Amino acid sequence: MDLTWGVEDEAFRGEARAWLEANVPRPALPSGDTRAGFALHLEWERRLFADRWAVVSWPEEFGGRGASLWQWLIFEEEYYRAGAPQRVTQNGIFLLAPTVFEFGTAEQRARILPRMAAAEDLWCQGWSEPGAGSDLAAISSRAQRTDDGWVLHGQKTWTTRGAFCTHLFGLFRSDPEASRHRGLTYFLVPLDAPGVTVRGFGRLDGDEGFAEVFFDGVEVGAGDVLGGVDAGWSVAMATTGSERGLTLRSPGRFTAVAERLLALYRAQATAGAADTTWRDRVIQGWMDAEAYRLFTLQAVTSIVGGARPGAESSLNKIWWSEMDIRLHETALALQGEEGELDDAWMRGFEFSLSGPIYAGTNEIQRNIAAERLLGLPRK
Amino acid sequence: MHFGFDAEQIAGRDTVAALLDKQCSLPALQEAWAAGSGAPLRGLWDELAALGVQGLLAPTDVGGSGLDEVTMALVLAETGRVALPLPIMETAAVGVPLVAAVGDPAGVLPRLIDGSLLLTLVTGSGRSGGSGGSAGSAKSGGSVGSVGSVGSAGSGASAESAGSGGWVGLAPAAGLADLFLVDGPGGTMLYRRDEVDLDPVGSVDRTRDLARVRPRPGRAGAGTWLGQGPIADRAALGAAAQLIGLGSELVRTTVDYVKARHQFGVPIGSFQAVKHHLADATLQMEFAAPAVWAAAALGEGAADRARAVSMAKAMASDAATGAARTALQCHGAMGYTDDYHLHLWLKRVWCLAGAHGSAAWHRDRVGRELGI
Repeated sequence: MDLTWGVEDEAFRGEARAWLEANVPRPALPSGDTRAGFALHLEWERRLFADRWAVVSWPEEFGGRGASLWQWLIFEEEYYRAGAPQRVTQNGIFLLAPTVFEFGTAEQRARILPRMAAAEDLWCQGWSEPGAGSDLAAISSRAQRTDDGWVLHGQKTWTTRGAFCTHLFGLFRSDPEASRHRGLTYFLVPLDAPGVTVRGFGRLDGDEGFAEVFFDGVEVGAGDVLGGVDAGWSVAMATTGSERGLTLRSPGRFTAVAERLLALYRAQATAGAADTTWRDRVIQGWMDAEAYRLFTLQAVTSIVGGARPGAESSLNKIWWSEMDIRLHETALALQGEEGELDDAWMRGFEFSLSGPIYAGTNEIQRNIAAERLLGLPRK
Repeated sequence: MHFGFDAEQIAGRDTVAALLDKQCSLPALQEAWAAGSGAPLRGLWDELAALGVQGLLAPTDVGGSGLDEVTMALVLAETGRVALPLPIMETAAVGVPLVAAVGDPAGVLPRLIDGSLLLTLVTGSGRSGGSGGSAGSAKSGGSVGSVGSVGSAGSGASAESAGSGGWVGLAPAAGLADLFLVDGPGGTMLYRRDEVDLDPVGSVDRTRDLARVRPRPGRAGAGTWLGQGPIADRAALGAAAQLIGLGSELVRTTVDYVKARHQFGVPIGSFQAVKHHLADATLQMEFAAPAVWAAAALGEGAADRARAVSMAKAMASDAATGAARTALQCHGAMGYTDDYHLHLWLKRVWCLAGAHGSAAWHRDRVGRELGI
């Protein structure tokens, strides 16, 4: 066991920190979940890409640095420590890309990944439907085979940043006769294709961060199937594993929030204005984030050693999502009457509330942990 | 960066685990419960010594095993898993390394390492200084979480000890112990059994064999001064490791139980309410454990050691306390009997969660280390 970073990793950290210090926009960008804010975020994404910081862990041929998983963690730590903008490209980079690396053909990788890294193509996720949320296998959007491809019909909803993205990856029912989890196919769909209608709508925080996407006879090619016809469930599960676990929610996000919370308390204490009844929760919040960091170091050690992340990603998701809410709740409480102001803490709080809902509600995650990790009976 | 155990650490853990599985069986534990002491398992103490557990942290040139604190933490988690009612944490994780570090002035080290002597820690009564004591420093004799203050140490005598006839605190395994370690403002004192008075008191965990301890009055010059070693942190970390073993075992045994127990015609483990209880207990244990291994891996003298140890003890205490509640609830009335063995684990958790600093005390210390 060695909890220190090697010389190369420290050098990588130093380079990332220096670049971020020189380049992170000040003042902070407006929300990327509005039309105007999204455009500014795209500029930022392209600056990241130009200096090869957009996708550090990808191979160089696709725009990355071939950085190790460790260095990816370090980059994330530095990224959030620097207060850099949210990643509006994240659903492509962190959810679709690992699936393309695993299931995509060489042609698909070459076509999809470099443009994704460069923020030329912007990907949103087409999972949920009005009748299929946590019960993802209940989707009814369908794909009908044609001579040279497929025709899509149906509706997706709660699609994050769907109104601003150019492409969608999603599940469609390709075999209506097959039982729930079978007969689904994973499609890659350009949102400017004829027959696609996108309608943005407001989230809890009022930003147009959600969209409904309608498919009315949308033609896609055979090359837009990712990972095999009727094999979409297992392909999609690879993506949701990423969403719940490591790739979307690196510890750096939460350790940065915990440090901001500490700084808030410290500033109040220095001014003689700290509400000491909240101190214990501030400390607990810091420890929760540190525990998440340690848990992740343990998980990455295991992955680097050849293990495949499994159902423990459900525990991971419960931990970070509920911790994120507690950290923000504590920060709002510390601010007393000022807590209601529509500022960064409130925005962060509102966003944190979505954590136990998306990527499979935490109730579903607890079922998965109990059934797959502990072996409790399904029925 | 490598957050995993090496082959030597795993081998050490597994060797001890195999012995404990064989010797610290449920019947043996129940015998200890009936006896109110770990005495029925005294033979196991010698076998642990034969494996080198008592001397695990001592250098090889004094007869120790020269292994690291991570191995120690893994071994202590195993002793927690089986609810071992012997002062192995006190002897192996606290006493031996301290005695070895100061050159064994009392001439007890070889017999501690070979299992001839049992050492215990006098804990808990140092609370008279309140929780305002400064972190990680021997200068705050009254700090909670340190072992008891030395009642006889002249000007350092605490209000509580002065007001209670010199009793300095509680020691587990008091009936078995040959040596008593007492921490205080002036440092740590080591007393032989004939240098202390013992006043046996009942613990909720009968196997604890608890007694109040005071250096015997009128024996000036008794005891051996062992300097100002970091024994409070060693004890807190050791207890945290044992709590990881206890809590994880409580979850495991409860999972087995809810798979086997049927109500309404189905295993109760198929109910979501039960699943979610156990998922939460697992979550808390799985996130507390890395904090314990990390604090052990940091080692003594590391800049963040005090913060890491206190975080480990706070998280392990809370996680194990939660696991104990979940275990009892999911066992229903079965767990609420003293025929069934569950209570042995529950009660040990209650004892260790409070010993060597409560979760709240350690969180406060983490806060001070973080500058708030």
